[in-house]
Parts: sequence; C-alpha cells; structure tokens
Amino acid sequence: MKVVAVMPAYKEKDRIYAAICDIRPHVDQLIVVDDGSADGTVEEARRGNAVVLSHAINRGQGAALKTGTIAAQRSGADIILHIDADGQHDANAIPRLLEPLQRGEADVVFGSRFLGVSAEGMPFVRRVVLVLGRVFSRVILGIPRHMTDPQSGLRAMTVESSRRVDFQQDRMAHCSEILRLVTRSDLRWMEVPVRVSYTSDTLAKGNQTSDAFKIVWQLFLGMFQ
Amino acid sequence: MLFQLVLSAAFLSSLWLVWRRRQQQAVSGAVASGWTLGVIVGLVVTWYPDTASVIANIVGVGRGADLIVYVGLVLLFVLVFQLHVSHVRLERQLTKLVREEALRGLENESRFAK
Repeated sequence: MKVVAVMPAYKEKDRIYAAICDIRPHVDQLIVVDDGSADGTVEEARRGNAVVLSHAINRGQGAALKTGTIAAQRSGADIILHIDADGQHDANAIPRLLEPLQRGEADVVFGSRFLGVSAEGMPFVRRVVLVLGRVFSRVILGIPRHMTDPQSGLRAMTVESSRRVDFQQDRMAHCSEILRLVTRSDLRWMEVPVRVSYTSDTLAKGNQTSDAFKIVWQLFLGMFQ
Repeated sequence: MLFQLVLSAAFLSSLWLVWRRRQQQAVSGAVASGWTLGVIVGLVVTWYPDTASVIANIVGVGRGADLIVYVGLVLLFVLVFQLHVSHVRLERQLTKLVREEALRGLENESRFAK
C-alpha cells in the first residue's frame, strides 16, 4: 500500500530537513505544503527530496493540510499520513499508526499523547489546556469520551476516508473538525500512543495557550458557513 | 427640532436607497420590509420620544433612552457578527484560489512520479 505523508510547513527552515529525514524511511512519498514561508523552508524541503507545493500566501495549517491531502489523493496514495513539520512527533510511532490501516482494522488512526507514552517537555499549562479541550470536545462537539487527545496533529487514514473527511477549517480548528467528522461518520477509528517532544523552539512557534479561545471562535463561526 | 429633522432625513434616505436596491434585485423583499419597519419605528421614536418610554416600560427596561441604547447594542452585535461570518466566507474563497494555484505546481514536481 502506498503511504504518502503530508506535512504542512510554515517558517520551518531550521527543523524541516531533520523531520523529513526521520519520516522518510516510513513512507513512500512525502508532500510538503509550504504555507507562504519566506525563510528557505521550500529549499530545505527540496533538499530532503520531498514533493513541495507552495501556498502563495499564508492560509493556515488546516488549509495547507487539505492542499496536501488533495495532492496525496491525486498521487495515488492508499494511506495518507498527516504529520507536523517541526519534528515534534516521534517518527518511530508511524508504523503503529499505519498497521491498523494496513491490516484493514481501522479507517482512521489518531496518535494520542495520553495513552501511556509521556510527552517530553510538555508544559503544565499546556497539559491543563488539553484536558479542558477534551472536556470542550465532549460537551460541545459531541466527541466520544474515550477519545483521549482531540488536538493531536498526527493521524493516518485510508484514501477513501480522506475523501469523506472533507474538513473546511483553514486554521487551528481543523483538528477538532476532522475529529468531529470522523466520529460522526461510520468510519472505524482508533487511537494509538505516540510520543511528542516539546522544545523551547517548538513551544515558541507552536500553538499558544490562548489559541484555545481562537479555536472555539473559529469552530463557532464555521457553524454559520 | 434640528436633530429630529436631520435624523428623519437620514431615515428616509436610507428607506429610499433600500427600496431602490430592492427594485434592482440587490436586496430581498424580507430585508427591505424589515428595514422599512425599522425606519417607521425610528421615525416614531424620533418625533414622539415618549413612545420609547412606553415600550421600555412594557419590556421592563425603565427609560426609553436605555431601550434605544440596548437595541442599538444588539443591532451592532448582529452587524459585527455578520461581518465576521462573511469575512470567513471570503477567507475560504481565497484559500480555494491559493490551493488551486498550489496544486497546479504538482504537475511540475519531478519527484511526483516517484
């Protein structure tokens, strides 16, 4: 089965090459969607021999992920893997995500930071926000309570599933939207444990705690589209 | 008196404009009717300010001036929210354009065939 990784990237010049090298052995093809960076991210991704698509202007992680997903569908992928470009996700977890799909036991597999493998360097405040996010997801979005990590950016799905999970959120709220679409459908989904490593670098650039409010607002506005 | 005249002129101008747009099929009949109702209420309150107090007493606000401020706030909230929603719609259309352009680059990627 052809596995294509989709990696949305924005200003990841210093990290993307290493991330590509880590992921490369586990996938057949890697598509990087540069989301309007002007810092050499594209050149670094090309150095890693990835297929590189570029957004002319910054449209957000969700938008880049969708562009990459469509490209992966067109490239003949059987399985599409979504993964961050900053190297936070442990590439060794990729086989764990792919196996249930390859065995036909699941249609969508999410990586979870809360299934026994402790995250490295996760700040206490982030942990609290993620717990609150889980409560929000259950109460407001109706995500099943056994979902442990609603904001995980590491996931894999069959190409048929990716066509059904037609997410529209351009920015940070895409995680919650994907989750909602998957859990509200008859797609078979599961979570597997993954390790995430936070560094001062990735924490400075990644989602901020206050972004939780933006996500809620984006989801709310999305209901009126 | 001057204030009432200016306000009435503004109300009537907006009413003329809305029905002109209605003739041009730019706004729906529901919007034009709602606007007309709003203008009538506005004109009545402008020329007979005590009516605002009567309505305020009925709904339990107290003073007519307070009622006008509350209604104004609600209208502004609705307007700002509508602007947000239409902004998101435009953003998504922009994303579609950017995406189509990016996907065009897919064919040029030599590594795509791998």
